[in-house]
Amino acid sequence: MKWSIELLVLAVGLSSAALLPRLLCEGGPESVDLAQSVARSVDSGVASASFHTGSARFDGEWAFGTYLMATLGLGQTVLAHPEQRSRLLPAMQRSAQRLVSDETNAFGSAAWGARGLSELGQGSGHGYLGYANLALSMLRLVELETPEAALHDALTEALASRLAAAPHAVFETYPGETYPPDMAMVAGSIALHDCALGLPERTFMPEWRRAFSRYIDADSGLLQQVVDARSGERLGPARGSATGIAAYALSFADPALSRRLYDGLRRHSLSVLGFGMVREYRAGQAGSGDIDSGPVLFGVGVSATGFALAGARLHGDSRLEGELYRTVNLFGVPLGDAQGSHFMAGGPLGNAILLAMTSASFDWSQHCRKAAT
Amino acid sequence: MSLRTAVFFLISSSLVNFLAAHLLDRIGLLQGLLAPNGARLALLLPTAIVFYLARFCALFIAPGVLLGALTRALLGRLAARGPLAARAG
Repeated sequence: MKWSIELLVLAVGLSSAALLPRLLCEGGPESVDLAQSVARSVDSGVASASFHTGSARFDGEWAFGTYLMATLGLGQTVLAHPEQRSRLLPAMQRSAQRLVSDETNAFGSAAWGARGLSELGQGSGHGYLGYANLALSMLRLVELETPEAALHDALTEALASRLAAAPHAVFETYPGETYPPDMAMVAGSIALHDCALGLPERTFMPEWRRAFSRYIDADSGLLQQVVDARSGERLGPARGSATGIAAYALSFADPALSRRLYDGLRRHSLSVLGFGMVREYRAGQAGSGDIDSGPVLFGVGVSATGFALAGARLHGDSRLEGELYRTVNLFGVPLGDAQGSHFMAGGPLGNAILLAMTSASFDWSQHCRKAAT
Repeated sequence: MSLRTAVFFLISSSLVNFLAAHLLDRIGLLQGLLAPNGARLALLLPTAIVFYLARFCALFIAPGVLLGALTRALLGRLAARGPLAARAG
């Protein structure tokens, strides 16, 4: 009898461990509360000097990424909650201004030996500017007349001409470095720009989509992280983090291609006690973490998991979205106060990314301006 | 584990989870790990380790331990009262 009681006690304990944590980590901060916290973080400023990754380029990329994701997340929140416009738009505008500042773009200027935003007419490469352009497009969608409007139009035209001229659907982000997910950003930024201004789709886009699809690994469904711009040759493995960010970026250019990438990402998801995660590499392939993937622990990528939140939301996969959100709550640790909510372990960049990913939707398509007749 | 110990385990792990989360938020966990300096790191690392251990205990272990202890206490009481007592004895 004592044995049966002990067995029952053990079963109750184990069942609780399997079922209760998922209930305790359910939900998360409201996007409006997280947006207010991100807006405060933007107001107080984030410089590359705030980060110490050991690489000046990566420190710069992180400051750039913080303003990028903050602008996108704040814009998406304003579209979903128009009543928050007057509170969030000023922070969104400040974020966009800092995103295109010389200081924030110094990492790209150092890599190319030239300021990318200064030679838009005759320049080449500078693929990282697709990220800035997507943020500017989101700002234009929310507020058509901005101080950055002329720069945004010129940048969009420059990126469009570089993308149209690229023989293999990609051009360089840095000299000798070409990343398909960055090209997804370029394409998404052009499409959102044209939506914001009521312009028709570019004629090169259908062919670009076909050519770009070649970088999706047929077996795994994951997107190639690095390729050679001159030959289109694949370099290195397809990656979860690249797939996740591209699925988000392409939601502005081609929902079907975004869906295809998300399906690949979902095939690499796993659930442990109701907590969702996404593998960085395909099954049977080992690899380490880097600045793009974040830490990779037991094959699970931090960036791939975070970026997958947007794909799950966008493509109506509420089961995986809920599981991923639990993981974010478990490790990110949501905290709230009177001025908003944030994730303790996120820092400015992590919170901005989570705002952008958890507020991703196709709402933007309902705000496209009508073409002038 | 007795019911009293299980209650203490849940309350203490939850309390450490709560307090350390706010302490780490004040110190800046991510910024601190990205910009390690001696004194800050000496406070940050142990606090972070204790925090995540307490968080895992508070979410994954302590509730189950408490429910298990409750189940044992309840069954023990039932066994002591009814016909189970004779069989258990």
